[in-house]
Amino acid sequence: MKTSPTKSAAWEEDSFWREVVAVLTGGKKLRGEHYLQNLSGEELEQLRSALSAPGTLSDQQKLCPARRGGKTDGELPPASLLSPISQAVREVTTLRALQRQDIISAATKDRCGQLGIDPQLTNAVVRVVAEEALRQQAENQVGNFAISAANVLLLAEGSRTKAKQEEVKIQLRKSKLTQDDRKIVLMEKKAAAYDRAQAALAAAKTQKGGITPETLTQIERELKLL
Amino acid sequence: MIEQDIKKFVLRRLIQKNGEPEPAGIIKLGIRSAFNAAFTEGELDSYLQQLADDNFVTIGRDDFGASMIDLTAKGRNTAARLIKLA
Repeated sequence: MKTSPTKSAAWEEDSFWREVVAVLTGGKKLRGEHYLQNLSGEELEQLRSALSAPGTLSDQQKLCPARRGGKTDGELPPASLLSPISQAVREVTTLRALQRQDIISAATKDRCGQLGIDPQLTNAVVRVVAEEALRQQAENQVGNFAISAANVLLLAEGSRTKAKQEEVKIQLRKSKLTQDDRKIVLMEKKAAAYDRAQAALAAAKTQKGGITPETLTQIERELKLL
Repeated sequence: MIEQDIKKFVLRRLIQKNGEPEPAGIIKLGIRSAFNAAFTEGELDSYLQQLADDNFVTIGRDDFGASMIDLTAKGRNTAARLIKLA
């Protein structure tokens, strides 16, 4: 006798709902007659958006897909059943938001590392941003805090660039000073050569035989250094 | 009952972190978001302290002096038994 393959429920095909069921049951098997067991993929989506709709649980109940199969076929799920599902959905949604936060933080740290921003500053800013984002999410607020945080990082990058520019300026000043020193040494050498040429000329004038070829060679040599 | 749910939530989150500690501030915000309840700081601190007293987590401090929560070996085993992540 052939056995037909067991058709898996729609929730088993979706990682989000698998996690929701794991939260609901603590990892145990979901009862065959459970509300979620017979919902299609579309109905699961409908349930998810119904549970995130504003209003009370009884408002949300009216938006939920009806039960399928059994004695209660076609009836809306009772609030007592929706309440733990709603709680599990919220927990999984929060855990996913936290996971997304981890990914964003890791990417931010990478980027700041590439920009050469101080890792301690990056860690502090990433954490403050994450906490603020979660706080805003918990309180259902939307704020411009992230923009301010981004500005802090940009300012940090700006100061880093400024510091780099200052470093280059100091380096340039140093090499200019070295060049100036070399110029002074050269000028001193020239002055000494001039003095020596003058002295040789003065000595030749007072000599008996006048300017000798040796004196001329010496003067010529000193003049070449000028 | 909610304490048990919070315990499972915290263990789930720390398992997600895969061995990295999590700032207590983030965990508390996560609890507030997940349970949609206006817990006071004191209540949340006491939940976390209870988990530390039961040796499921440790509470340390990072370079900035912020509280960091980490999973103990017992916490990891309990999480594997209680949660059985899908």
